[in-house]
Amino acid sequence: MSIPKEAYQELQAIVGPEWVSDDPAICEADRRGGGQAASTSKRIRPACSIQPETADEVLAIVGLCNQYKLPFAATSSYNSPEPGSGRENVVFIDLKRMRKMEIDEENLYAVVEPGVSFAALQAEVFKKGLLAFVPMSGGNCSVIANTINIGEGALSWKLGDRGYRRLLAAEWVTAEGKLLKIGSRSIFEDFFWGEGPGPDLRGLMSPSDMTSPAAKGVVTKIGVRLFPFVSEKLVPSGDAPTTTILLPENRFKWYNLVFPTRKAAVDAMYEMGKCEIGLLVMTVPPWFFSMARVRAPAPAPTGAAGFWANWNEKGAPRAAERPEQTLVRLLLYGIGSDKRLDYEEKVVLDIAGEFGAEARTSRTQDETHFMSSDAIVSNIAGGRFRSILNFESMEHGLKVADIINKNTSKRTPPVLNDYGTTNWLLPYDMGHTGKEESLRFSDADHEEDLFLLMLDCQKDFLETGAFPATPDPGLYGPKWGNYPEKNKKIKQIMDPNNLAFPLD
Amino acid sequence: MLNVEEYRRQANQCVRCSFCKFIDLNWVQSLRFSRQCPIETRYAFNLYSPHGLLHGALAELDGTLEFTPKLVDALFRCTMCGGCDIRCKRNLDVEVLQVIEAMKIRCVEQGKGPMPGHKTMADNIRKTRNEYGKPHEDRFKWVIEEAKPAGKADIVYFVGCNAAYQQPKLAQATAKLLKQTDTEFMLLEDEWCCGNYLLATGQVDLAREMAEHNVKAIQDSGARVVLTSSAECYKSLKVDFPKLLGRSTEDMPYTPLHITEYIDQLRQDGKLELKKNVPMKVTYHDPCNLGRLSEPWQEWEPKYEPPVIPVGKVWRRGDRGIYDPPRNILKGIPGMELVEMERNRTNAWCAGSCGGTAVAFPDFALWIAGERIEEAKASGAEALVTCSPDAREILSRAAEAKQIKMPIYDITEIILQAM
Repeated sequence: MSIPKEAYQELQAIVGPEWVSDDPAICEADRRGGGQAASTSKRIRPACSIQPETADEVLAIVGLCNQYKLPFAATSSYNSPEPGSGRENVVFIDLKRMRKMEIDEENLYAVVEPGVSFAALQAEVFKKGLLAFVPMSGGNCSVIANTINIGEGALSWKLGDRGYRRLLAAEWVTAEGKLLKIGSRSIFEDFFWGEGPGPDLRGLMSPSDMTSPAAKGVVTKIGVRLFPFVSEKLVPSGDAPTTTILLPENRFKWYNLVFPTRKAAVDAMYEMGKCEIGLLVMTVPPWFFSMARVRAPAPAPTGAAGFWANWNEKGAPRAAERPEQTLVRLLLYGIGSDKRLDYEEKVVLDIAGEFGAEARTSRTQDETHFMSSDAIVSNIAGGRFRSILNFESMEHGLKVADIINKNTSKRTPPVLNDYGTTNWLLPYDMGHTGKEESLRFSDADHEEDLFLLMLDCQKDFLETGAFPATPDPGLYGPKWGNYPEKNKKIKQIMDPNNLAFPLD
Repeated sequence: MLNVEEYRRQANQCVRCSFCKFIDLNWVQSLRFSRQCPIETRYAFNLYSPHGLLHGALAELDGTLEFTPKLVDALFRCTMCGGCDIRCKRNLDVEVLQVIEAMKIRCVEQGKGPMPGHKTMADNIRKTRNEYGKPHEDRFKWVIEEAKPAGKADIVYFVGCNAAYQQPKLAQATAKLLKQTDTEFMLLEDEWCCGNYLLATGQVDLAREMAEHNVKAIQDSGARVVLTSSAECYKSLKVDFPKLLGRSTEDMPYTPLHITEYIDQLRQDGKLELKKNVPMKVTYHDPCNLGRLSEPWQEWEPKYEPPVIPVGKVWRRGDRGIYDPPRNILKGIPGMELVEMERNRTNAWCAGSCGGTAVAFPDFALWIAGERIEEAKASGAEALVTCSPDAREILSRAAEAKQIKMPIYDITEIILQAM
């Protein structure tokens, strides 16, 4: 793989020789596919890797790629199991040196470049008594990459489903190498408003099954919404690997609610939504508790051994005995005052009584939602996992969970048998929408079983009208209004040479 | 466990999540000090990061990649500070540091490494038993009349090259401390370099020679406890020597003890009181070798049960390092105020002196140290205290280079002031 010598020299001139390399080892670290990640992609290295520091440099790089007809792919590299492109001779644009961030605390938004992680943003806004959304993909993720992609997580209960709900104005180097300013940024030096004045083209950033957001260019700066938060200091606590953030007890309280059936749990979550209580709420699959054992203090078995010891001894028998029993975790949130917390507590206890739940409280600490520090821990159990995701509503989540459970049971072992217990349901927007996420584990030698399980589920989802997060286009295109076809047409208009993030 | 093939299965677990690049996310307190890995922070390419090195290692093992100049450069710039290893073991349990260490060994075996500076260091050690190439017979030249070691004692003071040759006042401070606490101590008849940087730069044969010699010297001395005030030597005594000799720490014929553990225990037992007022606002730098790298080593034969359960493995996740004793001591000194830097304990940013990086890449090491000095300044401290002669040396140089007024002390100097 190589690119023309003149093109390479021009890339060096744009960023400086130190920040571009075609060394095979540099390119291997940025390669797509193969082995390590749960991947079915072709294993391929980019032709070179380049590290711009400014949007002007990105503009120049993309312009050069168009001039030489070189495909390019951008990443911010904070959580990239599948970076790069499946095409040969790709210029790999790594944006992690672009780390500028500004916070407008009066107008409740932050402006970030691609190299800013959610954890860094959250830490900075905490100091100002504000809260940023952090996805369950991990606080290490790039704010831009995740927000323009899916951008969802437990905080979506209160802060809104999907990243575009929090995405404001943006700057964007188009696939043809022009700087596009959208929303308020198109008229002012300001990112405060996404809808306007000026064009609102945020929908073009949204992903589809055929084209990633990056397929239409490189987003170099966005405004994201911030939210009012408690003024009390949040205190980090503990040494790795068992750290947390201590939450002020006058403002937060965890409730664990054990419902006799999953339907009761879902009905109760709808009631919580109607009453608009809580910062987040979710069901918790039984294996979550065994996962907590991976960091048990020695000499107890830890890591994978800890997980399986606990699961085999306690988790699995309990799950087999009571598959319908459903645990809901709810973080009550006294935003504004202590009295609000008292009010929320009274409401949740009423709801628990009405739906026959046993209610218990637990320690007032973050359970990896404000910083999302445990996003990858599921890999410990077996070495490989696949997330089968569906977005729609909680009832819908129950339907697809049945399908997933049915298909899972056909592949256990090697896939972990959770006995058809309630999967991970996360209602968003106070219950208006919801996510069902089934994490399924295997060891590295049986990765294909996970892939086949996902395909089996997708076929069956069609019968229920479910729309998975990563649908097979062959199955779903015609069924779902040819959105991918329309997206392809837009891509052809915006990127006639198919240079930006070509997947084939 | 020094052959990278033995870690292949674990390296294969890496999913490029990038948690290895950041401090524990719950402890992130700012954008400025949110990162963990010095090479990744400075050079940004993914190869210059723990997961990049893992993927480079796997490709090299698969035969699809050679030790290219960049791969060798990235490997040997890595300070082996271990931050990535601890981060990964929150989520994935990959032995990141072991893979990197074993890859350096493999690189040296293939004649592609180490760097010229590392070879010079090894030559010095081979000839003079210290990394500076100074006369071996001068190793104990620092000994002073007022703190003379005994001919025979239960405790051996393992001095280390830096305190013996570069900063003799630190060796003298330790000896004085021991004398003033009525602790009988002896020196090894023939102390050699601990070899910490040899192993960290893949020069495993010479490192093993150092370990074998020193362990034999300790056994011959009859002492049961080996005390040191050097973080690097402490890690060698506790982790590297057993690793190089194919044993576990608990099977070694001695107990390693850091001076801070000893002094803190004396305080807790009521045998030592730090009475003198030392009015100073200080911050404490956790040396990597004393903190997250100093957990006991347990030899382990790779054995797995399905699906991927390592049988009988005790994980080293960093939380059993030496963090509290130095803090207890500093907090117990009248007039002293201890403030923490944002990255502390398991999250500490490397000072740049680890892993032999400073020997081959002095400018990069100084940059790492400069970052730490900036962080110390941001903490509001007026001085920085540490427990590693090497860290003290490079941090002092960085403060000077940055023209930041931040005196750097070894903790033994501070304790002496308070006695």
